Amino acid sequence: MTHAANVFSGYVLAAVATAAYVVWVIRRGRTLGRHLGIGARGPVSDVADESRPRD
Amino acid sequence: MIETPEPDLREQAQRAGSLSMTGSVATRVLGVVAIAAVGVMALLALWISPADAVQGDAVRLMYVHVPSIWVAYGGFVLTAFASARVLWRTRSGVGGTYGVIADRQARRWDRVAGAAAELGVLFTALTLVTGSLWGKVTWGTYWQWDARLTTTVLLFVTYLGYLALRRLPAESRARARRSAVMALIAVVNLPIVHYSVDWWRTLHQEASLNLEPGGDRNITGEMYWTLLYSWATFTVVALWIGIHRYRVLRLEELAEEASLEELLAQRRDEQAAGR
Repeated sequence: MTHAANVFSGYVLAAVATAAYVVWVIRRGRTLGRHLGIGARGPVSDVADESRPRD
Repeated sequence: MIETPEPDLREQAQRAGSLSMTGSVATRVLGVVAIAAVGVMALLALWISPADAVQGDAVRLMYVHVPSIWVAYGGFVLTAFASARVLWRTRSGVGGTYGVIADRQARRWDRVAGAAAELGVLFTALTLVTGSLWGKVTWGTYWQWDARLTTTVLLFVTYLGYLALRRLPAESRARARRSAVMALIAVVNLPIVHYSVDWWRTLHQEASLNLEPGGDRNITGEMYWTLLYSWATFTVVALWIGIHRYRVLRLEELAEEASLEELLAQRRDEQAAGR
């Protein structure tokens, strides 16, 4: 492998691994929020509103 | 002791206009800063910073490899500090011996420890992979069981074990305390990793930056500033992810409490029906 290829692989791997972790963390937060019925706006909060008792 | 209430996650996410449950104004700003900083870092590291006289372009891996391990060190030190706080705030006679952690501060420190350790593991993995790629072009091999590499792998595996320990089912107080003890044991390896290149004859080079007063700088000029800038960028990225991860841990606690409440309610219903 050439120097450039190794450098490129290193940067791409670091970027992909970090981005994958960021996506996993944020998606896990959204899933848990939806599960708990305390989601943020949008489809998540629609679920949250429906899950709340209306009196 | 006055305890401040836990922040309402839904409120902070809505205030930020974020679709993410763990988003807030702070994380949005940090996210934008982090992504912009990564772009500038790529520019500096891949184009502006010069190639090394001996290593050529391979030296550019340093701007990912070295900041990764610095951020990992920071994560593990924070884990140890937070774990010490957990042990102190859940010591015998404070908040009971068994069951859930009554003390809110202890729960917060436990989350800090968990989030920081996970980031430490991620960045240690990046260090190992980028180091291996760097080693191939400078040493002619991806791996060598020398002191620095071996102790770094040990560090990685130990903290993987720490994360596994945190996931073992147990009452929150017991889980937090035993994880905290392991974190304080695991952190002992940190100075060994760092000084391994001074203490033993290794294939790995000495520290990239000599921080001793009056010591010679191993790197100067554009390389030096690019390395420092990369470290700052990695720190911002880690902070950004760390805040999200901390909040996800809070949500995991809430989910655990909710399922426990549900089980208790079911049991009460069964008892009432059996009467």
